[in-house]
Amino acid sequence: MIPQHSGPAPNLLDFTAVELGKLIQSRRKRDAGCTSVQLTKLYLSALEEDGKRLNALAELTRDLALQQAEQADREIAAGKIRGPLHGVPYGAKDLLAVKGIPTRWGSPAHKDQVFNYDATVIERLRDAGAVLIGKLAMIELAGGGGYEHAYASITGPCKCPYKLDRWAGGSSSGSGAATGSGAVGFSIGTETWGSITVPSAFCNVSGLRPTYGRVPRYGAMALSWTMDKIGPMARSAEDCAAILEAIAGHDPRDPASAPGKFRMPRKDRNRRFRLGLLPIDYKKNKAEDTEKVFGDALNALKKLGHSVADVKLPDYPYELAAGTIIDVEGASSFENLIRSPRLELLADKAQHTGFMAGLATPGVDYLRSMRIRAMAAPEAVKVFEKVDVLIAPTLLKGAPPIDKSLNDTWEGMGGNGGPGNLLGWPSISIPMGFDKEGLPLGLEIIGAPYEEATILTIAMQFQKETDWHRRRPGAI
Amino acid sequence: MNDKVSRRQFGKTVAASVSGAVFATAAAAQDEKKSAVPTADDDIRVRLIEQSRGKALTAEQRKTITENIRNNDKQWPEGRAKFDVPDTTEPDFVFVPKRLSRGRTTE
Repeated sequence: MIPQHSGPAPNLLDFTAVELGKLIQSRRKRDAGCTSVQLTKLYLSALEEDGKRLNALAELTRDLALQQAEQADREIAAGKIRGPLHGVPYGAKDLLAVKGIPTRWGSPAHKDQVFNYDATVIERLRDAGAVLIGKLAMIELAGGGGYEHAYASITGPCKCPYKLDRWAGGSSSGSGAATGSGAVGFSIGTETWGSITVPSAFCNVSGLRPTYGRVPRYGAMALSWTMDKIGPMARSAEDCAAILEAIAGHDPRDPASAPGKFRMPRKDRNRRFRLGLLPIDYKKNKAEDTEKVFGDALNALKKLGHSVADVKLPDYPYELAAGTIIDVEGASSFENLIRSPRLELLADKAQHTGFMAGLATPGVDYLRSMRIRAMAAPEAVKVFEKVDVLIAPTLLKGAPPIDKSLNDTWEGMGGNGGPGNLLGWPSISIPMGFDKEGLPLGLEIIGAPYEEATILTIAMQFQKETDWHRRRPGAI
Repeated sequence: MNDKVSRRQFGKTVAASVSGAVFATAAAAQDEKKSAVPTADDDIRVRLIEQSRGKALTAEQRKTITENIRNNDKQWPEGRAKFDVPDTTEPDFVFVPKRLSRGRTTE
């Protein structure tokens, strides 16, 4: 075992989703464990109190949750086990439609929005027996206009549970804060560029960005039709695998969704892999602290028998192309809002002007970006002939101050989101340690398209040998 | 995070330090001293936005939108010079015509 922590003994709010599922299901066999209703009540109270304190809660779904938990208990008592998430309480980013429950997209301009249907992911988690206890806060419209402040949300600035004067990250802010603080058993986030991995890193959460198309987006707010992804945010990589099994697979209502289910292989869990190190200038970014923590994580991976090699991606303007695609698809997706006075209801002024500027991006620049993507995809993926995965710190620094402009605090933050998001590659951010201020740092493992099993296997091996993912913040 | 915070910062810093795709830093330095006063060209596009929204922009909005448009403008010329896209390269999407559902087809 590598570093051990000396925190308080774990309680039910610290358990991983898979552990919670086992606990509920163990109730059936003997007079032990707890019922889904008991657990749901505990988590509802944590989400109501801590979630509100962190500005992580968009809407509590108490009645629905208790109804689903009662059903789970009845089924489990009758021996009908739907899977590892049966009876486990979870939260969903507030851009996923839930029938009859407000879905505000984090936006003051959509405060009265209610859909009369469920998103595919919500349906699938219901079918897996999971219990929806709340909708979680997010940056308004997933930040598509280019936000500059943590307060760019109808719920206010979402706080990092490890330090309340720091930001939880975005745009899946509430998913990160609520999962990291133990206010939900697990959560669902979405990513267009960094929206799962960033809050996961800031809040000490394991967050998986699946391959583009792996998880159907029917019923999810669209920011960028060719880049939006939905994925799990949880307290372990094992949880992420279980959740992905439940939500992945084609849905004809999302034409971009890929065929085939995701199944985590039960064998080969000890396999050794070739890890590719992305070049990072720690000194230039004043991130020596993170370099050390990453070095320790790398040593842990080497001890597990993995080999490491330096790699570099072919030189394409990934960031420019990805940025242009999001600008234009975002401007198109929200065109009605942008052309209306309601745009100015958004909390962050930078969002107003960013969205408006998106209308002025030339069509040829958008198509050039799409053509660059077509050129880069077959070239860049060849890196996975030399190595199985790419690894790097998710970001070079911990959560930034909540009350300052992100334009200032993001300097030197680093990140690996451009190529992976443009090309639809899967990635996971897992806890790898803390900086000198006690802020969590994430380790990112990026895989080839549809190779979630590989990155999850490495992440699970790492979490068997370390306990960073077990650490929880103190009292909030 | 989406997302623009990160991608704009990526454009300035990360591209240089992580992926090696350095293009924005030089472009940013080049135009650093330019004033934010809208030029005639910028103004046309800003006016089109105003027109399409049917509402005058505030001076602050006008200034920020102009900066945004200019940022895009200054990044692409360098991107175009550095990364040639051959005429034969098609964008990575296809349009699939939908068949008639009642089978009225000659096939």
